Amino acid sequence: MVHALERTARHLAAHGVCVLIQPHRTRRPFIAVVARGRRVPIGGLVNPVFQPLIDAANDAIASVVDRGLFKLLNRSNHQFSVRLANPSQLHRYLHNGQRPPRFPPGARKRLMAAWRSRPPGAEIEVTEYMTLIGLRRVGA
Amino acid sequence: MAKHAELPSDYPPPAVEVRLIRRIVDLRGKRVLEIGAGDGRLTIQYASLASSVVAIEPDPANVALARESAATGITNSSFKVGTAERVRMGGGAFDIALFSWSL
Repeated sequence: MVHALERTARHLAAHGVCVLIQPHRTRRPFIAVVARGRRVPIGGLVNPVFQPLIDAANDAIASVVDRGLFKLLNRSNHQFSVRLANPSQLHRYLHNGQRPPRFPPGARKRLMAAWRSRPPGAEIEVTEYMTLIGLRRVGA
Repeated sequence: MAKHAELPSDYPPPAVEVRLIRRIVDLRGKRVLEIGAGDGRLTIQYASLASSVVAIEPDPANVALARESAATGITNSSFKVGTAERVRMGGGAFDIALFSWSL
């Protein structure tokens, strides 16, 4: 990851900007059951397999800033939500990627209990978190 | 047809990422290097703003998809198979480098 950033710096013009869209460092997808203005929070998922890669990417970014290759311009956190029709769709959605997140202990049971008692028109809301990082190349 | 027949993407809704990128840097008229462009999902959202885009992606199948998506209307972008570590281009060739979910 550091090598990718180092090589990228070489391809950038003096004072060029590198923008990275990354998963949030700590916040993984959050599940809720929603209907008619009601929102039943279920909880956040966990991803022990993906987390070391996220940490490594953040460490690589910190490394190139610390070494003076780039200057940090901006770091901001954002979120977006998607709505899914049922737990089966949630399963498919979560398994889109190579390293799917998983429910922490008890959370799947809470989801299914909330889903069984759902009002008409209920959906499953997944909130995803991301971070935007802007780096300016230092020197030429 | 059911309301949710098609599974939503786990990427942000269209235009969200470009709007956020533009808060950091003005894409207009810039030479952009996109690393890990995947199937060109994001590239085709911003390419018309840039002066030129070189999008690299290690998976040849994704590069083929990106080229297909860009074939209708995107004329300033090239898609190459490669990685940031191995791509060969002139030094200082780009104004902006973009990693979208790819570092």
